[in-house]
Amino acid sequence: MTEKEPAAEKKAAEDRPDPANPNDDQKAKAEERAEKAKYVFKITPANPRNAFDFEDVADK
Amino acid sequence: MKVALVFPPQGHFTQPYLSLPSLAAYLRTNGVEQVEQIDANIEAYDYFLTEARMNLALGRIDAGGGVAGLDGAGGLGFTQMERYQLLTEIDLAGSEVAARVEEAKEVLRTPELFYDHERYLWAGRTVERALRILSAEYWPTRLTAHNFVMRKRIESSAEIVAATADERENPYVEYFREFTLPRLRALDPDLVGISITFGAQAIPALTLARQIREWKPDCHITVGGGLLAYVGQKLSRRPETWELIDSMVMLEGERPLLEICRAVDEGRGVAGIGNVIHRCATGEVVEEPEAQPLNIQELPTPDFDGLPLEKYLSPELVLPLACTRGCYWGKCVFCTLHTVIGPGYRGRGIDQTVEDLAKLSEKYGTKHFYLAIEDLPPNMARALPRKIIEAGLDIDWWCDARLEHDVFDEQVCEDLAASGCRRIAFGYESSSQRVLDKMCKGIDPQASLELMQRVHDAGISITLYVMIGFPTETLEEARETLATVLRQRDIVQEVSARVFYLDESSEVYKRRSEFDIAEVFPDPTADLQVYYDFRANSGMSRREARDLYLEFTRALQSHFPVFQNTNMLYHELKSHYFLYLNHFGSWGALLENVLVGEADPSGRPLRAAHTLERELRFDRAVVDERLTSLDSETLRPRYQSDLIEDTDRERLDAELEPLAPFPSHLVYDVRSGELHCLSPGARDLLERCSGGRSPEEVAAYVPSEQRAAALECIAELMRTGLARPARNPQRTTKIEEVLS
Repeated sequence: MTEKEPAAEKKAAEDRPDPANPNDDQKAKAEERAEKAKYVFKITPANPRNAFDFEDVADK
Repeated sequence: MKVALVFPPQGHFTQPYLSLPSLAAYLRTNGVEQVEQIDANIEAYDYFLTEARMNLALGRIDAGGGVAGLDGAGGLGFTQMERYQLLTEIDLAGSEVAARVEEAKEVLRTPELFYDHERYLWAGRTVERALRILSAEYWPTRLTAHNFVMRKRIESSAEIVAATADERENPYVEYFREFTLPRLRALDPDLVGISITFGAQAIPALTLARQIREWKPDCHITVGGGLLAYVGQKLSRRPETWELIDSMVMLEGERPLLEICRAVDEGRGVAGIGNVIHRCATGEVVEEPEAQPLNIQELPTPDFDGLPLEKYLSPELVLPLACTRGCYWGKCVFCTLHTVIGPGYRGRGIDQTVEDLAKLSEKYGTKHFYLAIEDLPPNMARALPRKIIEAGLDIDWWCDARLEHDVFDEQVCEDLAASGCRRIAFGYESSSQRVLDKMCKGIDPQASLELMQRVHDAGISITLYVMIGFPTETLEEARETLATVLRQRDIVQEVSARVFYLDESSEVYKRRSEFDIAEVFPDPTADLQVYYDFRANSGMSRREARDLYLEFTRALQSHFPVFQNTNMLYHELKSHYFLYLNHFGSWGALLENVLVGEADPSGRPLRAAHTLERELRFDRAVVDERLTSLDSETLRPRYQSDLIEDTDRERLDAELEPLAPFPSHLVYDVRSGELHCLSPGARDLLERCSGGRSPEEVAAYVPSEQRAAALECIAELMRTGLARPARNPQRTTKIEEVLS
């Protein structure tokens, strides 16, 4: 491992958002997302089926 | 002489299979007195689907911690999305599913609860979700109602052997150690026969063999079954195979197994027994010559005694029975299924078949049968129904059949229906005469449609097998097939579609230049490979076939009531659709009373009382959509596997743009067992559904330009039952362009 890698990791960890302690920039982004989401009206079944579910099922 | 016959996981949990009862009957009538049948498949499902086992899984998974970690990420990569999909639903609904999974099993086993449509769907969804929880414990392993797949491939003998000791990803290592092995210890057999019919059984079967070998090295372990016709010889060349088993039975198992029993009893080797592969004392692997096929008219009726018949997850017992072996047609160039039982086509007498049905019906107190045959031969189609009627048998049954235009006339169809035939699955494959001729199907597509109309008019439910991407088939030809099938949606109830796989035992493979196959791509790391990826000089590409297949499955969901939303359960859970047909008497009655409900989006919406909810930092709907859409991006040389290969996973992790955060809500409807993803706007609307306001009043706060979308969302909330119970939203797909 080089010296550079731990430093890069540290920087990435600092940049990673912490939902418990957001910084101002993160707060602004979250607010922007919330505003945008307010009038998105979408309901989807969270029961994803993949194509395999149709395949040769009757055969088994 | 004590013999244990084991049907290992994974097969369906809705009915017993025929392999063990056929073998047990033959051994018992030939003097082997102590034959124990163990359906380790149903027993494992029964154990996994318990509250205690679910709670153990939840404890091991710690979904909440996993979701929290992912919610803290700046974006979700491919693997993270997969984990997110699984963990978010487990975190939200896991405890509820665990607490009620045994109630769900009870619903599936109790007639008055099973035939209550809403209770049934709840139970099916709960079982489905419980299996997702168990799968999450062993991620990326996936155990569903109709498959078991591990990261380690069944196309590689080394990976199979490694999987047999993989405690982390193979749920059967622990299960067999704690349950099946103690049972075998108590029985202390001299011989264990393990049946391997499906690819999904390969790893569990050898996992059990390993444990038996470690416990009792002198117990003779033999494996047999349909899968070995494909991979048995290849497997026998691997030395590690012989660390786990003593012999392998190829093709039909009755006679070789009896002779192995006698050899073991007499303390001699199995040399000289036809259809057997074994390793002799010198270490040399010997493949004994092929034995003459059995005269199946001399076989006893299958014997289901000793199987835990009360454990299958169906309210009434459906018994399989085979009145033929092999296929009387036997010419379709893509098909090899009829070869696994032995050479040639053999039929049992029609009177004998009626006697078998009567005997089994009386002995096991059931009237439901599945004729486990390749196709109903013309003489049986004509004569069996009348014989059943003459014998006064009150039964119902289903089977596969060829589209024999001259056989299924009005009278035959009427007789079939009158004898209790409720469902026939036909190999339709294509609407193109050119493609059908190339396949050597020997049928005329127009006459097939007329035949199907007659079958439908007689009140028999129709299932069609359809194949996409047969070599030389063009995109236009395949589109026309799919459009033709969709046009038949009033007379066809189910479609089992698949992409063509190049099977190395098939005529297509052997004569591949005739099918314009220019190149075959064997995987050098897969010594047990049976199905190959390929490139043809004409016709559609593999990718196009896959894409069209996916489009077709979406169209099925739109146009066929059996496939709409979780009605899909009726199709997936082998016997259940058949039992529902019987219960309601006809397809029309089933359609009217069960599958198509009235959606009533008027009135004052009231939010459902019994829901669990979780706010998510990422849009779970987009996660689902992304993961599903990646299907055709991944190469699928593995047969019957929906698992992403490690190489594809690495590529997708590296190449995919991480999913950015966008809030969503996951809502679990405790009453229906359904899980929904709601956008924040939809969630706000749901909150406002107090029951006292009309949809227009609920949506009054929404700016006018978005009002129509909000009203549509309220209607959707009502259709799903989150605001008011309703069923079957319709979706549209690209295939409608083809239809128009």
